[in-house]
Amino acid sequence: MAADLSAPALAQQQTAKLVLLGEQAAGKSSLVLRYVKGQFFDYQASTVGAAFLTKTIPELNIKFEIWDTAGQERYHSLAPMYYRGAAAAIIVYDITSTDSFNRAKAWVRELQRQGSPNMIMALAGNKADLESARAVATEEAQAYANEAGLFFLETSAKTAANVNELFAEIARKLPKAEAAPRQPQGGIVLDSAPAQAPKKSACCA
Amino acid sequence: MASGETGVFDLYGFELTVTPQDKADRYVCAQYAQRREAKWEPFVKAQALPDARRLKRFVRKGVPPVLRGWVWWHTSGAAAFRERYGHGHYASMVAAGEERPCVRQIDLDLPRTFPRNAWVSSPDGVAALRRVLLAYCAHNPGVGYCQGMNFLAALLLLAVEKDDERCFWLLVALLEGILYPKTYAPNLDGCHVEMRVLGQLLATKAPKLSRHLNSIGCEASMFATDWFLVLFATTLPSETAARVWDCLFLEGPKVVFRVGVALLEMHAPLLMRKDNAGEVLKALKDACARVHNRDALMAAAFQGVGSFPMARIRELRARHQREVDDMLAARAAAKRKGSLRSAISQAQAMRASGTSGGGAA
Repeated sequence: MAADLSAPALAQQQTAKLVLLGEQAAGKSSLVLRYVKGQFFDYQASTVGAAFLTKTIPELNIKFEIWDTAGQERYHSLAPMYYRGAAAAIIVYDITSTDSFNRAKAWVRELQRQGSPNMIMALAGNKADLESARAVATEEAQAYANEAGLFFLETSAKTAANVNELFAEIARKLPKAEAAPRQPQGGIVLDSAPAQAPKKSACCA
Repeated sequence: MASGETGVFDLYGFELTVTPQDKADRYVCAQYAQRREAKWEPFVKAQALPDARRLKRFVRKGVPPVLRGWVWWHTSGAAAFRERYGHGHYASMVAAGEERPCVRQIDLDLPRTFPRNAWVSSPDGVAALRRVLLAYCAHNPGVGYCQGMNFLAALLLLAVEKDDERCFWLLVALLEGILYPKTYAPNLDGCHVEMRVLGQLLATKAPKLSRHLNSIGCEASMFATDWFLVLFATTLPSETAARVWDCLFLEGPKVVFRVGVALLEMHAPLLMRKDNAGEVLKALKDACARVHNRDALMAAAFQGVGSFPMARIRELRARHQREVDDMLAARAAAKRKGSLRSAISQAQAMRASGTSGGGAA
C-alpha cells in the first residue's frame, strides 16, 4: 500500500444526486439495496413516496445521494421533485416485461425534456437472471440506448450481476467536480465541509 | 443506525428491533392499555358505544385492540356505507374485480406487502388482501388500485381480526367519507393538496423547523407522501399506527395533520442538524419507525401542538387545490407539447435516414 500522500488533494469529495425511475416492480429498490447494502429479498416492499440512500465510492471520491422512487403511474406527479437537479438517472425496466420497457422509454423522453441538461442517463434491464422469461431482447434495448444516447447494461439485483458496474460507470461519466459550479439545489455540489482549504501552492506563484 | 434486540414481535406480528428504552416504552404503554380496557367493559356489555363526548376522550386514550373491529365499524361510518350499498355488495364486487385491469398491479404488489409479516404473506393473508383490493377496484373504478392501499388494507385486516368484508367497508369509509377527496386519484391530486397544507401548518406551528426545511429545499411532499397515502401504516410501528387510526376514524383527517406536526416537532432537534432533503427523509423515516411510545405521541399530537381549527384547514385546502390543479394542468400541457415535438423530430429523423417505421415492432 502506498503512503497516504494524496489525502489533502482528495479533501473535496464530489456529491452526485442520482434518481431511479421505472415501472412498478421493475426492481428499483432491489437494485439500490443490492448496491448500497449488498442485500436482496425475493419480495421487496413496494415503495410509497420515495427512499433515500447514500453510498461513497472511495476510489473515485464520489458520494452518491440516491433517490429511489415509487413506480406506479399515478406517482408520476411526484417524480419531478426527485429528478429535479439530479446529476444522473437510472431508468429501470424488467427484461421480462415489454410494458416496463415502454415505460422506460417514456421516462427517457421526459428526462430529456425536463431533466438537467447534462444529466447522465443509464438504462438498466433488470431481472437478467430470468432469462427463460425474457420479453425484451438485449439487442433491441441496446439499439434503443444507442439511439437515445444512454448508457445501457442488463443487471440482476438477485445475483448482483452488473450492479456495481452500473453505478461505477455512472460515476466515471460524471463531469469532474472542478467543472461543475456549486448549485443551490441537488446537482453536483462540492462537499460543504472540505477537510482543508487547499492552500495556494508555492510552486506555481 | 439504532441497534437493539431482535426477535420481538408486536401485537400484529411485525418483528421489531428494540432498544432497552423501546422495551420500557412498550411495557408502559401495554400497562396503560390494560387499565383502559377495563373502562370499556360496561359498554361492551351493553353493546353500545359511550356517548359522543366520552367517546372522544376514550378513543384518544386508545381503543383496546380486541375492540377495534367493533369500534371502528361504527365510528368510521363503515356500517352506514354497508347499509347504503347492501349486504351482497362486497361479494359481488370481489367477483367483478377479477375483470378489472388493475388485477395485474394488485397481483404484483400482493407479495410486496409487508413481506416479512407472517400472516400477511401467508396464503390466507394474500387471499384476503386480494379480495379486498379487487373489490375496491370494482367498487370505485375511477380510483381503482393505488400503491399504498395494499399496506392500508393489510394493516386494517390485521387490526380487525382478518375479517376481509369489514376491512373493505373501512377502506370505503376512509376513501369516500373521511379522507380529503381524490387523495388516491390517478394524479394523487388530493395527496398533493394535503402535503402542501401540512407544509403551511408546520410554518405556523414550528416556524424555525419550517424555515430550516425550506432553506435546504425540503418540501413536505418529500417526506409526507406515505403519511397521507398509507396513514402511517408503513411509517410508524403498527401498534402506534393503529392508535392513530383510533382517532382518525372518529375525528377525521385533522388527526393526520396533528400527528404529522407532532412527529416533526418531536424530532426537530435531529432534523435541524440535517443539511439536505434526503438526509431529512432518511432520519425522519428511521425515527418514526421507532416511535413505540404511542401515549407520548398522542399527547404531543393532541395537547402539544395546540389547536387546529377545521376552518383554517378548509381554507388552506381550497387555496392549495387551485395551485395543484394549475400545476397538474401545466405539466399535462408540457407533456402534450413535448410528445408532439418528439414525434415530429422522430419522423424527421426517420425521413432523413430513409427508414420507415422501425423501432418497436
